[in-house]
Amino acid sequence: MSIKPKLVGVALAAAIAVPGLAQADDMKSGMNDLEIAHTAYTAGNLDIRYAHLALGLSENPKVREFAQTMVRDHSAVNEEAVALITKLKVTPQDNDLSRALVKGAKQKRDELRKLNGKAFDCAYAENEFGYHQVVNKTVETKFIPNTTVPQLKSLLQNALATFKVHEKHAEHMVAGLKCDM
Amino acid sequence: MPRLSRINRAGVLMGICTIFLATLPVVAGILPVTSEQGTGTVHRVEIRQFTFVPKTITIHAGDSVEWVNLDIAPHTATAVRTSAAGSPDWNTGRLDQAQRRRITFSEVGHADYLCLYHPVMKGSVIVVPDDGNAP
Repeated sequence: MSIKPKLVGVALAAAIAVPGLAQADDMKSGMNDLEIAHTAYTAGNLDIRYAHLALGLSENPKVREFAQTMVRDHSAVNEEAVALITKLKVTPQDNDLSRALVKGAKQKRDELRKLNGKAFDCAYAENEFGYHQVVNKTVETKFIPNTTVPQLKSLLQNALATFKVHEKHAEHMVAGLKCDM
Repeated sequence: MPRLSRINRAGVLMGICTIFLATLPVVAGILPVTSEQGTGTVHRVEIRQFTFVPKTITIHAGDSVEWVNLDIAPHTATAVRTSAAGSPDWNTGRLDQAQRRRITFSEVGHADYLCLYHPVMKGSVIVVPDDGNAP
């Protein structure tokens, strides 16, 4: 399925709105495993927070269903991540990319809270599509290749499979909302 | 209101039981009869990478299908067909990673199903008569 031009624009807008992820392209020094783990966990948690916002503000059944899936799936992935770092007896490291993601997500949540009805639904859905596109690209092209711990690499690969399904689901959600109309 | 004698009460009770037993096959014919326990063969469907593997499975009537979730994300295997009340004919419920649930299929037929959480995930159970040959 080809992505319609508007959805490409959504993805680009999300990349701009999430400056931290744009910085991932400049990972000349490279993030270490603990930083990658921290950022991947942070990205998942931020999507859970977006989902809770949607469950609080949206009355659209499809949007709510998507949000519930985000809570369910990202919670499961993050629980797996916690189990792994506990087993490995390591502490994920905060870093500039994580901080940039947190800052960008707060700005986005503040924008979303001002909306309601279809305006909120469309803004949430488009953000989810763009966010997953950008995060997935970062995980696939930056995090996984730069991870050295095999268990973390495996977890990221499994998580990426989940997030790619989310991206498709978000794309369908955006299309179904007919936000241009 | 006159009270029924003991003999009459027994007769009324017998009548009620007869009516109930007579209608039971009709009710069973409308609703798919499934349960979580069976004595037939258990067939395994793995849920991995957001796919039911195999996507279509053919079993004998009386056999069971056991879904096991190998993904991190939770899934369900839920019948597409619903009863008049709107609930699915059968449903594994939520399966977290490594969890499994078994459903026995007693009636011949074709049952499509999906994951309630990820509706792109679809599968089918084809139930054939038990003629002694492999399904």
